[in-house]
Amino acid sequence: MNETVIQGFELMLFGMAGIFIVLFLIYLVCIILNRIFSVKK
Amino acid sequence: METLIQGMTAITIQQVIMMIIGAILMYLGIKKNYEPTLLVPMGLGTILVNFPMTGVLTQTINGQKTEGVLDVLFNAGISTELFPLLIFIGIGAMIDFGPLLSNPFMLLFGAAAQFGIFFTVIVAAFFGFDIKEAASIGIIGAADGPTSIFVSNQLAPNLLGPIAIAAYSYMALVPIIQPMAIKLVTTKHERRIRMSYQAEAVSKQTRILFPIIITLIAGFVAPVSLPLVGFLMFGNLLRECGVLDRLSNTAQNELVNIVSILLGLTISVKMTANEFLNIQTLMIIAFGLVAFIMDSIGGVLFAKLLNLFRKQKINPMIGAAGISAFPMSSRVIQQMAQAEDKQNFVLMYAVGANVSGQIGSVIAGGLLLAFFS
Repeated sequence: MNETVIQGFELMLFGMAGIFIVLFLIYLVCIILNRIFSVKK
Repeated sequence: METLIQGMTAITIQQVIMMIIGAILMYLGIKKNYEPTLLVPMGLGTILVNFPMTGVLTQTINGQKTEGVLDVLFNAGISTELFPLLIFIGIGAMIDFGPLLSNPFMLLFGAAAQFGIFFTVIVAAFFGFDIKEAASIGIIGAADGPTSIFVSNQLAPNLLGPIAIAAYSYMALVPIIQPMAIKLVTTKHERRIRMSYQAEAVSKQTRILFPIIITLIAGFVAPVSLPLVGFLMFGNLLRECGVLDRLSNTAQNELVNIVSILLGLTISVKMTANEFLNIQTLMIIAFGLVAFIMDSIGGVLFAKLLNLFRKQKINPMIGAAGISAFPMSSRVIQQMAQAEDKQNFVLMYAVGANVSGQIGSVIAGGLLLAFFS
């Protein structure tokens, strides 16, 4: 397979894994912030 | 007399074609209301830069160099990345992360719906673009004009013109592209899934700390993305901190308006006939469409995957709202849901996914840059 296409697959792997990791971290941040600073009813 | 008609005699057929393209861009902006803030200045700019010996571009006549105003603006605002970043401050000030903070689960859709970016990178690489050009074409799928400009200007500045046009045009066409893509991969039954809205109230402290912590995470994980994330979150901090309403209003209105005028005009430096009229441009426009379609499909399929493990099913259309075209995409999803079932209200979930898409697209841009740094 073309070398550039293989690089494209590597980029896809790096990018999608990176986005999911970063957004999952942000998800955890949201959960923690909501726990610590929950609005009292 | 010869000097007076020099402009007419020196013009080429390619330049005339570019002027027609400029007129079409203005028509789409004015008549069809497709992203007029960018397409109208860009359309007129395209006409301005395609006159022979135009004064808006730098010219060397009889050995004497005369600086053109658009080249000056380009070097000051696009080459330095300044204009897209300033727009990010305004976008950040406009975004309410509340629906996301009350339903953080929606963040995952903001990640899944970036799939089109990377899928398109592979497609573009397959068709002979080098990897940096392919990455720049893929970023059209970020569905976010400033991110596309920021990334492509660093990776493939020669493709900036067509990439900016594709990014903004397809953003305007989201109401046409997304329903088509979503219907390809969902059944009527899936589109009718109702979701009862359960949201926690979000405290002021959370709203203030959120942009600061996101900046810290981006700084540690992908520092190259900091200009994008940092400026976006700075704008949001202006909005949420509660003591800078004047600055927040300025960022949302005057700043964005002024920079949009300059950005639209300045991008047209890349709309000269010899840079734009080639087969690459047509391919970029086509791949941009692929990126938008695959973003939507990626988001929907991810939602369907989650549904396999969830008791309380998600309407898979929510996944498609994870693209960054805010708020248009969430409106499209709500309209589609109501077209299937008049009592189906998924808007707040869609807005949450849509706002996540804004973060996801910026992170995707940063990761593309990080890959090559």
